[in-house]
Amino acid sequence: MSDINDIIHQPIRLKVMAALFAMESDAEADFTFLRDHLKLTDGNLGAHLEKLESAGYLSVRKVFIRRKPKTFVRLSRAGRRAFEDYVEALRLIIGDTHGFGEEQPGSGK
Amino acid sequence: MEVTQRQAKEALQDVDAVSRSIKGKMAYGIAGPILVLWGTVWVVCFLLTQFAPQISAWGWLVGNSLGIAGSLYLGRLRARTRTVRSDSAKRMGWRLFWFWFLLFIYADVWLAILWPWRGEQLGMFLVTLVMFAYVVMGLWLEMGFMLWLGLTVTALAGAGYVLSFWVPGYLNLWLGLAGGSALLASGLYLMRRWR
Repeated sequence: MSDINDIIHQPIRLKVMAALFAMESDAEADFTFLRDHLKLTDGNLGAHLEKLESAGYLSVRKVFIRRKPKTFVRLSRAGRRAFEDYVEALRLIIGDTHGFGEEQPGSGK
Repeated sequence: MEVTQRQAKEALQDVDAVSRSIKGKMAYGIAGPILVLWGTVWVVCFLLTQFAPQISAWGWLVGNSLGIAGSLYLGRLRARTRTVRSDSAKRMGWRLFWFWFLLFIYADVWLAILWPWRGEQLGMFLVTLVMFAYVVMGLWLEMGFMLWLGLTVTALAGAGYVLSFWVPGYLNLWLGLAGGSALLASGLYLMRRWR
């Protein structure tokens, strides 16, 4: 047993962080894309995004595109580092000695 | 918070699954419709070349024009409606555009240098050239599906070319049915998998 980041270690927040981490480092994802891809509801995703945003792990930007409101979510540098540390900690728990940078999750196709 | 080995393993599996699905969606989101488009062009134009060779040159001109215009339209549509914004992805899109544009310019130069060629040689040249580009994209962009598609269609085309020495007169039919159908089926699969 080991200590681990309990903000990230929650099924939905973990998926949100993993999804944003899998994108390019400068990418920002549309709220609806995350909601549909992760099969969540508006309220559920919104609540977890708030939690992650208040931890400084991501930034939320609201814009109008063709007069329609859009919300974009982006992983912050602190969020990226926290996620790397989190995955590293999980690997240590299961006894995987490969560093996170050496073999990233989902690196294979 | 304390986490057991089992919970850690499950969490890592979740991370891996989400990561794979996001990367797949990013990489193959536009590839599906483009493959369907070019698969259709290949099937129709190669069948035209086989059964109505007198109008095949016009057929290819129209088919290729539709393919290029359609690919540009699909790229533009994706850029306008994209749900993940990234400057580096945008730059990659432009690099891919210029890669294909220059590849066809080079292909024209090579064909001019290699003239005269037979119709079958032209068909084989273009099919293997495009599949070589798929293989390169597959290797560089870590798109395993494109790599294997490129190698498979190249092998099918190569087998047809060798067979045509014993059974002449059917290579265009083979390239249309085997090559074009492989693109079409792959595109439909990707559209279904990563819609």
